[in-house]
Amino acid sequence: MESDDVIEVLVCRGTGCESSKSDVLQERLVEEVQRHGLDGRVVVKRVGCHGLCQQGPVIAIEPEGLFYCQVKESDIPEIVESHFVKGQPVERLFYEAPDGKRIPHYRDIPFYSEQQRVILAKSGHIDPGEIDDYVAAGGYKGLERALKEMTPDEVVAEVERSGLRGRGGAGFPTGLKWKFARRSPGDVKYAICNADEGDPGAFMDGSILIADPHAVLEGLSIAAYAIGAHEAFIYVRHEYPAAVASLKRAIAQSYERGFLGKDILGTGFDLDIKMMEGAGAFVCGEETALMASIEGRRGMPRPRPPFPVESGLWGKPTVINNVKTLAAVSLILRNGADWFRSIGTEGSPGTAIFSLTGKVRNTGLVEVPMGATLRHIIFDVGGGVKEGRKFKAVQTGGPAGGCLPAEKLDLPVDFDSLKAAGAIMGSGGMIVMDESTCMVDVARYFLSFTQAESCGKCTPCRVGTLQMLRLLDKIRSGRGEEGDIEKLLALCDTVVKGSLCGLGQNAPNPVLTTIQYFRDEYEAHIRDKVCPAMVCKDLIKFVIDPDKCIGCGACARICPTGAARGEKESVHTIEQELCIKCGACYEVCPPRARAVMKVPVGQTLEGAKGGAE
Amino acid sequence: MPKMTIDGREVEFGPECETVLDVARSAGIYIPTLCDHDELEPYGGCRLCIVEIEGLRGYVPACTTAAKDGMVVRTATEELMRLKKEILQLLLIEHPSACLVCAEWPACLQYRTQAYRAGRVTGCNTCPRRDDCELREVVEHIGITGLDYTPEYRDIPVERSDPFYDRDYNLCVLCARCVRVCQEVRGTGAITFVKRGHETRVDTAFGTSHVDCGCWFCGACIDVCPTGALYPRLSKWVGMPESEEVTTCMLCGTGCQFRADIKWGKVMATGPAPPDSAPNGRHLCVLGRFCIPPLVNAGDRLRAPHVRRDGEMVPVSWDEALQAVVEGLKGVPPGRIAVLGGPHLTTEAAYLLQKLARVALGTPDVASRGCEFASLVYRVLGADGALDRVAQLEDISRADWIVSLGGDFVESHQVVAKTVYGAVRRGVPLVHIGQPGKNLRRWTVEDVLVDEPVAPAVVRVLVEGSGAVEGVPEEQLRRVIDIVSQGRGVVLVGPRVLELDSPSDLLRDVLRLLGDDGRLVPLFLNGNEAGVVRAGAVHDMLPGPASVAAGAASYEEKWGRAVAAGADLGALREKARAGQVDAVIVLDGSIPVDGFEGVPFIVYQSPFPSPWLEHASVVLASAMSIEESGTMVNHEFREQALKAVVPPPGEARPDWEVLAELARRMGAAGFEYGSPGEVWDELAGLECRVGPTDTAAGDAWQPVPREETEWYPRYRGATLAERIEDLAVLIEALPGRRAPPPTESLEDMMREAREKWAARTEEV
Amino acid sequence: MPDQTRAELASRLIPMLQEIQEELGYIAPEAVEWLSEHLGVSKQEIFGVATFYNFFRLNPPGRHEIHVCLGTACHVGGGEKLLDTIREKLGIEPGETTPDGRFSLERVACVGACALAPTVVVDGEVHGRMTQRSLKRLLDRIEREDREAMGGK
Repeated sequence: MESDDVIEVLVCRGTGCESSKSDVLQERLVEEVQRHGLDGRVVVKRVGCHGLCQQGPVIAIEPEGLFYCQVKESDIPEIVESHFVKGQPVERLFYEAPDGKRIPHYRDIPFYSEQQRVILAKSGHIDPGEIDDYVAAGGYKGLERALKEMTPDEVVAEVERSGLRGRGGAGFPTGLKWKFARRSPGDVKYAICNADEGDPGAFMDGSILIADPHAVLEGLSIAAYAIGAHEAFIYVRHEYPAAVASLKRAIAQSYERGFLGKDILGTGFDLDIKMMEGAGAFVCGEETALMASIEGRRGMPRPRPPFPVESGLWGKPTVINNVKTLAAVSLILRNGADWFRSIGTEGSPGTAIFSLTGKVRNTGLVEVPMGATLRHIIFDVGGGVKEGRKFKAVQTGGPAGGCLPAEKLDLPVDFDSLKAAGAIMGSGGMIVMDESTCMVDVARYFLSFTQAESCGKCTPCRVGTLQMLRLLDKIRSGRGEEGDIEKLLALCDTVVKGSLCGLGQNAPNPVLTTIQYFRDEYEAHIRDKVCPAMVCKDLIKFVIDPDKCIGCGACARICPTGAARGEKESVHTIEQELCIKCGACYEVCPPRARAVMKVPVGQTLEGAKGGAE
Repeated sequence: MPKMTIDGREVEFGPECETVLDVARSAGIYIPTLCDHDELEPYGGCRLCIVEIEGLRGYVPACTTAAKDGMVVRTATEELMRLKKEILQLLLIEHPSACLVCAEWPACLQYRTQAYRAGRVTGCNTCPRRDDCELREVVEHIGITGLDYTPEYRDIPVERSDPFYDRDYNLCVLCARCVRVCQEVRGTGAITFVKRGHETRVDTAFGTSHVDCGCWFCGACIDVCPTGALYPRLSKWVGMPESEEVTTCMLCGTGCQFRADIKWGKVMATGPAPPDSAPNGRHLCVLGRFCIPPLVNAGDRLRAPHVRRDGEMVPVSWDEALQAVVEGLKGVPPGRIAVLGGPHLTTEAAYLLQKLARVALGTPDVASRGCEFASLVYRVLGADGALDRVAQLEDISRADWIVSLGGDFVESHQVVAKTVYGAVRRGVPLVHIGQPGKNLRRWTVEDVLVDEPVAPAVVRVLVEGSGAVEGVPEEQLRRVIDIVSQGRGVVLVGPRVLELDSPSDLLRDVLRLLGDDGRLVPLFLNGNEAGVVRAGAVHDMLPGPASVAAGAASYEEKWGRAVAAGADLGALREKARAGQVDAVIVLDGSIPVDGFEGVPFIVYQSPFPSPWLEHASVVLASAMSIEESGTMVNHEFREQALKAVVPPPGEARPDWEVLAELARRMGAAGFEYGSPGEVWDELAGLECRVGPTDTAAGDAWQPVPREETEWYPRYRGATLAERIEDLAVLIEALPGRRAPPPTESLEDMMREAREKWAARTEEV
Repeated sequence: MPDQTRAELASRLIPMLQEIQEELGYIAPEAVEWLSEHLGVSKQEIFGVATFYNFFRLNPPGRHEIHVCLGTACHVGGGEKLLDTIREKLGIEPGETTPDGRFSLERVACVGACALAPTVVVDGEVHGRMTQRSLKRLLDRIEREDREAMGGK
């Protein structure tokens, strides 16, 4: 068949791959393909995130399903000549399994084979810039079914029956939310897509918007139809310029093709979708703050009730759904509620999408059925902890989520189980930590993030989180006292119960869970003035092992304060008075020497060496 | 009636209770709050009013949760109170609270009578709000005796360089009341929250001064502040007043009610009157909020009557002084006497002044400064039988559209402006005809940018529903016609219409534009203009007011004297310059002496010195409005009671008393009054009588010069800006606020900004 | 409906601030004044909004803009130390611009390239897997290029 002859080269242009120059790769590919006169037989396409960001930049070759990893510009001529001209794939660019074997097909890579990609199915496989690709893959079938075959009430009922729960964090039943908004009196209503993904370490929503924007637009249109809105907004994080561009293009194409605007698909339904870029405030992920931001005000949340479904944007009934929720809606309307219910668990149907980062082998975008265990995600999909280190904890739910220890690895991932364990589903960040991570430091880091992002409106969050931060700093710097943990817990309680919005109510979660699961580490900092993971600056010092120093001078050259010093070719030392503990020397000390060592501040090098093993 | 259960008590509530907090308050159940304020939209920030409501998750603030039938609310469970205590403790980490947690505090409260002055507020004892602090009330209710945290002083420099009040944001609890009242209620937006999170502060754009940020110094922010963060500088360390009295402000035509705080027999401060006070509720402007004590307590007040002897002014007894007046006037023919009043007399005093002139002295030449506007309105509206079309401020709140002309009312009438902004915020369209300042421009939906002389042409087009005005886009006129053709309107007419050649025509057009349902707000600049005209203390009006044509006969009968129209102030001045005036009695020192210097016998009666002193033969020291009782008629034609809340200084006496006695001493009958109330009784029954032809007087209209139509408060010889430095600072800033709207495009603006920055880096 | 227009005007504030910042690089006092006139919002309210959101800067950016990512992955990977180094080298704090207008420094929450942590973004270009050494090289290169550009004049 003719079509068998066409080779599709799918160049990943997700944020990860793009920042490793996949745009250049695409240009070079096009050049090379032309140079070899392969136009028409080889089609180079830009696609959204493939998911396996760790191996970026990645290129998939269809229909063979081959997968090239960590492609460099210099590899391009070889790929074109060897693979496309001679039909011999470049094996050295295949995915390298931990055992050293090369795996040619992405479907055989455990990272993919262990997932169930439903919402992400099209990501990395269609050109997000071409609405035709989306339509050819079954896109807009859901909207068509909703508009042509169903009443708004039936749409609401279908979504309710699917059991879909909001993917933005709290897991509120989407159908119920829509029902409330539909029932709220008023002619003017609004539907909003919350794409203000602000969690550090999370990039699911951005990736979906880049890779499959129409899925979100379709879901948003269905939501608007269901509740009776004729105006909808997408609130996107401005730090995602690629997502913004992708959406802009998709919205324009949708208008052109009659999926948006007046009389959509000839059904008489009108809908306008406007895009609004956020301006860098994490709290705007909170729905009342998001609406304040759309209205042009400081993004400060207000207490609920009244809920947005009664009184939202400009006081009108408003539904706000997350990107992933809306992408799921498109599929539910296309494939039916029963199909959706067949995936995942009874209480949390469907799939969960995570951005898997941290000290895990395969960082990237992961989709698994709800109810999969943490172990499955981290070890089977993620390939386990990097560099053979030991797993220590995993943080789910972003900075307001919780840190779960190894004992919890068999916890099924769904809204309720995570919550019961002290963490939250959040919008889907998942950060893996190994033994080199200090849990006090981690708690402090997450808290410093939420603290800095507090809007300042309510007292518990504004002042309480800062007090918590001060206590954690005190502990981290070795000034901790007996009773500080109890003080922290009391503050957590006040902040959780007293705060106005979800940001404050969840901000203490990392502290609460690290105390719950890693209390001994806190105690080590407080009682023994030791940071077991050798992370907390004030509790460690850098020293040079004279037995190992080879006198290369790398440490002295990099040291910003001149603390590391020594004659060329002779043993170097670190002047502790001058040292700011930036760790630069530790980092540059050549692996063959490994002379720079971290030592607990109260110990000598000899003591530390003697103590270790 | 819906009901809910609060702390086990069943409480019924009406529609006026919107939130759970409202219901609790109506039932007398105290729930502590810091950010809630009944004039402001619910905020829900301080978290001290959190309650437990069955069926709702977690704790919700009572101030933002809508009251619903059948709710079961608990406000003070053990857990709630513990939580509130914790939250309040967090708040107190940064609020100087040394006293609150001090063991000696109860004793201090008992033995120290008031806070003492300190460079920095460290606790209640060094805080001016020590004795009426809302935060302290909350602390005492919740019961905090110690802090579990180390206090952190924010060490923000205290801002003392702006007029009228200090701002010590170290005391700020970020309740946002000041920001909200300034933005939501006053429409000024002079302050805002800047930054966020723990760095949140109340500040201005780019940290500019309050003079530069557009603040009108109305003091609303101070009045809603629950702490001592904002405090009027003059009364900062005075402590609690001995008594409080409510009376009327005479410094502009609105006649606001204000509270006078009295201590040691003096007005130490003024503040808002009770919420239901008409017309201003709890709102004041810079004059009523800050200018009264410095004016009243001025060191140069006239304290005793004086008589000129051998060229020297010597203090004398009242008896001597009045006798000197009687003697001085003896033998002066009535046609050579001029009696001059002004808009800051009480209505009673004005009535007696004209009666003294017309009855006791027999002269028609009684004139008053600064009453032209009220006189015009009485004549035009009176002739039409349309006096009831003068608006009450509530009418503004009920309007479907608002048009303003005759100057920028945000500048001149802050309380009216606040009422207008309330309507604007609800979506009522406001159109300004003229040259609005920056603040007003933010409120309007249309600015018809014309100079004052063109305004009548614009109004004419609006009345006729078609037509063109040079320099005004046709499209805009059409839009404005659309606006004013729907529903009930209110037109604010400012004092700058007095600059026109024929303002009566404009007023008549405005009445036509308004139709039967619409209302007119004549923005009188000067305190009791309306009362003085009503008392007949102007040259061409008799009490009632009645035009001379319509009222002469009945007054001739009543008084037994011939009554005729007199010369106006300008004509009298010319007469004096020509040497045709032998005696002048002047009660308003703000009237320029010019022309009257050569008059042989001048009686100057005023609370304040003025250039008239140099020329006076007799000086009579009189009381100020808050030292005498009487009546003031505001621009709604509302009769406002003036109360004597403090005694006049020295031997100064109320005007009505002095005028009545003078008339009696001159042998005139009908001046036996025991109190201003008796004067009012005589005056109150008089009707406004203006014949249709009387408005022809408008043809003889003398345009009022610009200096007189501008907001530049004066009070009987006292020029406020000259006496109150802080007010002068505000007045000096006004030209900047009047700058015309910029015409540059976004691109131009950015190019200029770019060039500026480039020039700066070039230097480095 | 007039209230609709008022709300609409106000809702244009953030997009317009973004537009101005894109063009001008910061929110100049002139811009606040301009917006106040055109959107009917007080300067203070605009300033309140501009200082609430991280995106807006109130001082002009340097010719080279350095953004240090301090997202989770970058934090774990030593982003803070990279920031310290730059801070020391340029003598400015995050949010500031060197007096000669050459460099400005910002901390950002996450640039979404966590797999490349730690990252530093210079003039819009993401530099991943940064080390103290590669950072030093990067800054030196900019310095050199600037000098050449100056010399070329």
